[in-house]
Amino acid sequence: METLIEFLNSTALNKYIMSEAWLWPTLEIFHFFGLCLLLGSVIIFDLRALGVAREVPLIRIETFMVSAAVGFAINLITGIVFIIGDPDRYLPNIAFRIKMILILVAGLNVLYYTWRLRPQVLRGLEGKDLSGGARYVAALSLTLWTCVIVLGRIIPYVEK
Amino acid sequence: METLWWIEDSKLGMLVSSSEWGYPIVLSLHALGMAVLVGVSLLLAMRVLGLGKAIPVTVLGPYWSVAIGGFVVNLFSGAALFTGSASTLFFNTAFHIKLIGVFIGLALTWWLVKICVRGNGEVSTTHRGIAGGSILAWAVALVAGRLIGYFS
Repeated sequence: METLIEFLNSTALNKYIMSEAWLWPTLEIFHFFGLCLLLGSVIIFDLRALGVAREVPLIRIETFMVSAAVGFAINLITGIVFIIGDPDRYLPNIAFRIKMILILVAGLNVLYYTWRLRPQVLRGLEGKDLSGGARYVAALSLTLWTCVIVLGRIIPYVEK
Repeated sequence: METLWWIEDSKLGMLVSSSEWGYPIVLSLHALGMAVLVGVSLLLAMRVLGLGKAIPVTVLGPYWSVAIGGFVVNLFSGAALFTGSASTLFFNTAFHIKLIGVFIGLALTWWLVKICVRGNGEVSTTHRGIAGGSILAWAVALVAGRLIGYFS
């Protein structure tokens, strides 16, 4: 961990990020925009799986997974730049570490959906006909992303 | 000015500004409310602009209630955050711009829901104009909100 922090601190990108005063707030703005896009999409998809807006087939709502992916991509990139720019602040931080673990679990949750549920959704199955705990997957996804946002926001307040 | 200091010295103001967990808890609620309100509003507008054309706009009505839920959370968490730093926020330009952005974003999204999402299912040029305007207003609110801390 120490070595990684030292290495990141020695990179040219680290120097650049820290030398441009406008860059950090600009990245923060994109990170906030990305989280809105991600959570908004997740809300629409997961609440549909939990029973909101039943008139529309689940498979069509999948379009919103594209905007979720775009939001996630924006935050992955800006997030990586934050870590390179200020590794001492993030890597040892407990809220940051739990946040990373929860994002990983959310990723596994998406994989489970793709492997177990999506084939059924593609065949047009809905609601009670879906086997494999679709509602739990949706509820877990909403819970995880909510916790991710809260953990990200409290990173500065749990520093030692 | 006297009033602003009185607000900061109030029980709630002190809880937000001086207790160990008051500020981070209210701030987290504010970030969550924002994600719900702005996230859902952006996606409603993006649907009107053409994302996911296979989904009828009219089925998205229930999500507006979810967005309103986010707004209520942020009205309260925002008011609480204001009590914590009333005397500086009141004169913060970024804060003023943010409030205007939120007001316009909320008004335009509400209007869009009223005439398009709860309409007959057709999407007109006017609807797309309102949708574009709402995205712009939310962007202004988000940028200005994030910059409040850099202005003080």
